[in-house]
Amino acid sequence: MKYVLPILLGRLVRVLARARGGGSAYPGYLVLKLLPTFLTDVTKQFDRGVLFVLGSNGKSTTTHMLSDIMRSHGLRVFTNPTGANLPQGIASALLSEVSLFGRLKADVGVLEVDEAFAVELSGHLHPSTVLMLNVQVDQLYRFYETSRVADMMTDTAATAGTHVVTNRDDEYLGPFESATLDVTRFGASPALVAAAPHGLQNASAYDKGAGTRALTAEAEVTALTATGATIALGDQAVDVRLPAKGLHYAVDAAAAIQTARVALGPEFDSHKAVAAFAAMKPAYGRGERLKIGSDEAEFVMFKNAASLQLNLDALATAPEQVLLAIDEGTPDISWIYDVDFSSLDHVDVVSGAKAWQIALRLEHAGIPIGTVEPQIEKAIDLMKALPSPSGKTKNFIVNYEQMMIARKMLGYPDLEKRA
Amino acid sequence: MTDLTILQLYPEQLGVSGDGGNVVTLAERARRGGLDVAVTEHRPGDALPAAADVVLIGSGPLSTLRAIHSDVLRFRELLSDWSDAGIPVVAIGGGMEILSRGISGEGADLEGLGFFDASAHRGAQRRANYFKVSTPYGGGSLYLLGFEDHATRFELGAGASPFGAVVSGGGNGDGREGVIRGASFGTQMKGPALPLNPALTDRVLTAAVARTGGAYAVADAHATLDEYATKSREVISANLEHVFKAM
Ligand SMILES: [Zn+2]
Repeated sequence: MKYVLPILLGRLVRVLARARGGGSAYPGYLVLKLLPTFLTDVTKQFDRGVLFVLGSNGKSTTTHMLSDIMRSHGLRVFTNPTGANLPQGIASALLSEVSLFGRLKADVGVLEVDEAFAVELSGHLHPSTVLMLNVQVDQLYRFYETSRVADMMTDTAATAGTHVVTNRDDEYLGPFESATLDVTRFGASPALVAAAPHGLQNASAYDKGAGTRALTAEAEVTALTATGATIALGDQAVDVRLPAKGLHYAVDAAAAIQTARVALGPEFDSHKAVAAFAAMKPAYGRGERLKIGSDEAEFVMFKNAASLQLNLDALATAPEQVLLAIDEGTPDISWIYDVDFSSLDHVDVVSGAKAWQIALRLEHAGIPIGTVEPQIEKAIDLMKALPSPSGKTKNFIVNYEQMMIARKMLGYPDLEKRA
Repeated sequence: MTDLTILQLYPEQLGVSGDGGNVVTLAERARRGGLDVAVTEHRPGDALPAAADVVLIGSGPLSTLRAIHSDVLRFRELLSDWSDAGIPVVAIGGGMEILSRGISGEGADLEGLGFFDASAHRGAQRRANYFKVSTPYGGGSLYLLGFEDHATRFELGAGASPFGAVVSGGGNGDGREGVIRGASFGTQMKGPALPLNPALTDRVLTAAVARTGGAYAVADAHATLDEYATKSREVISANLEHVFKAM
């Protein structure tokens, strides 16, 4: 009975917050205040436990992939929406699915977790498996030291119940070892990494010195195809379709598959995993295609230099029509000078509060700009008004906040809320 | 024939805050001013460079300052001689700190080059905000705009001059910002500093070419760069009070 009142209150606040169009984290915050054991109480009902997904980039995509693989094996999955990766965000997400008595019918929790809160959340959620994706230079205003971010992830990995899955090709995370845990790795073949214009964008551990120990990846991307990738799993190889283009998505897929393999054990069936990828829709804003007039808008979302570079590198040819937008959701954009924009031969519209700074960067690189329009709403109208491109695709390269506004403007409802 | 050689120190290790942007803008503005430009780089283990007309050292976290520490100490005499000869050394964030007498606090105990008469104390309140500074560098007072992101109190020696005065932001922690030594300076200004502040870039270029008897002037080819920089600065000016959550 202790659940009823806090959950009712949380739900009421949630309804009110939604009606006001506000954020969704507060109901979770309130429930955690009233019922500090809420996270533990609900998630301990999951027979297959909880899986954590950590990383500087790719958390949402990989969480989405891993959830779909688990579902393809007949499991009921509880997962948190994109970016709802702080304690209150996860509590809010649980709140929307539990019964008034705190029951939740799920077999497994697949959760993306913010690195700064991961150790704390592990204390409440006791993950059986922790997946570490990568350490990339990200939001320096927030953490300053990439090694600090790496420590947050490896400290969390050490709290896993049984398995840790880590990135063989990450100088900080690859060498992770444990005397008590099962540690396996994913990666991309050296040939693929060498062929990528700017590599995998993982941070260099200058303070650790170059690793000399050769590490094995139990799941390794060995080829990129037109629509997907080949992933070697020991002596077996699987071809998966990818929901979006780019080596980084292939690596995320290898990470998700390896995590499913260890979490499911002998139950893992590669055919089911392949089927899951075949049916997978892109995660919000990662290669997602939405209608814009008689054409389609293809969204590529980024949050830092690494993810923008990887997405630019994944472009097969310079896009015919492209909008590039960054707003105050990304406060310090010094890093745009570290990005190589040469895969663009022009940009039609630059937008967002940082529009003039983007324009300044592009002018330094000699990339022509059509219009600088800081207001994203007007910028989208400009993109709509451009004649239909021969490829029928208008590319939107945007940060999270700009993507949310753009989706709404194109008539797509706001299904996810950020914590 | 090269009119201007720009030397960047440790582009990978001290290049995490868009420090390459300072190099890009020096090179691009110089080229649009008709100069023939070469950009060279120094990495750990390389032989000391023979010559340069302007030197840039960017920012990086403490872990990478430690990683390049023994290498950068080799520059102690060279940078000092160059600066005395009028070659501008532009040092940003961690680069400025390692060029001071040393970095202490928060487990840091790094001897610096003593190039700047100052010392850096880590562990001050973390700042992540827009930044406005006035500087007398290279002539009449200039307002600079950019971004500030550090947790350092920067203490100047008795005879040292600051690079400027803080108009909005934290700076050294005492209302002053950075440090100046002849045509060389250190600052916490990121964003990066030079693309957003073309007038400062032009003063650095003027100092760099003056030494070799060259000339640099702003031309029509700079108009678009200047327009975009002006608009960027207007937006920053209007948002100076905007506070960025550090967590
Ligand atoms: Zn176009």
